Amino acid sequence: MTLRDRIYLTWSYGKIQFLVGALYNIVCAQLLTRGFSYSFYIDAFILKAVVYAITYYLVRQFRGRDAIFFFINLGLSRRKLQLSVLLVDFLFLAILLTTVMLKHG
Amino acid sequence: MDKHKLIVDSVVVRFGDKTVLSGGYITSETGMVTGLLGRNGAGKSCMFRALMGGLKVENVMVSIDGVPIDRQIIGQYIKYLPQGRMLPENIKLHKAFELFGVNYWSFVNRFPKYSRFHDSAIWELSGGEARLAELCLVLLSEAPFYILDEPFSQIDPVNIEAVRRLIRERCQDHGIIVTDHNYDAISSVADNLFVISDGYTAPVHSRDDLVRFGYLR
Repeated sequence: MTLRDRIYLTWSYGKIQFLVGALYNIVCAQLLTRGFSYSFYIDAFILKAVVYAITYYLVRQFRGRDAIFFFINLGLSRRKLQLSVLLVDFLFLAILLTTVMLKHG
Repeated sequence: MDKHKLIVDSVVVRFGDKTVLSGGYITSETGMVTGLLGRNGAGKSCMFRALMGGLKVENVMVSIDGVPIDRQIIGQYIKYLPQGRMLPENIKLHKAFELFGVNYWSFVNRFPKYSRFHDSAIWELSGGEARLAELCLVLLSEAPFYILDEPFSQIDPVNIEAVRRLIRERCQDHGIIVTDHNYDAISSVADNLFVISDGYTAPVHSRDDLVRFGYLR
């Protein structure tokens, strides 16, 4: 499997989580531009974990129960996919907040 | 042709207090079609979902040629056709075939109707059309073993014979496990049979065994 395919499949699996995560990240970055504090930076990550968990739960509830086998058949386990989504999502938040902090802090 | 043997053993699945499977067991060999029978709710699909990593399982042992399989990459060894829709609604049919490493036109050679669906997304196909595409996607992709959960459901009667032929053809160099509610559908394609009853799997040697396990009257 090529890297392009892997990225495509990760996006296909975590689309909703990525979109909700991106929206959350942008709102946090916007709030951070209004006034910087370290506590906000930390709170943003704690709330992010809560939002992530809720989104994950809802996506699992509404996704067809056999949809995961498309990915499993291609050699990607649920754990691997979820870990990729989590890493990208949190990395994006960290990069975005740090960039805003350096610019406005 | 390399011969392989798949053994799935000690499958234990519980949902809260309810034990669905307490001793699930099935084997498959290259060149053979193994049928799994069982009444509704006996745990046939549960066993497959559990071994493929789609269901939380208390215990399962999967080995090929005596070597335990890492279930994180089980898709490399076993391709599974689940009972419900597997393909994402938005994926184009040709893209799905590309990801599974199957030549789309070899599939069209068998089912010419699909030549017009090359650029169609799954949601544009009817339930039966999507089911046949998924079945062929799994059966034509490369892996030593295939597991097909109710492969004849939703398939047109005119295509059932073609599917049966495809299963027989692919079992020449692969091991295939098939399950279905319909005894006649399974017995017409399988070389050996297992039945699930009361959470345990047992081999079936004659029709009397199925009566004894409460599957037939």
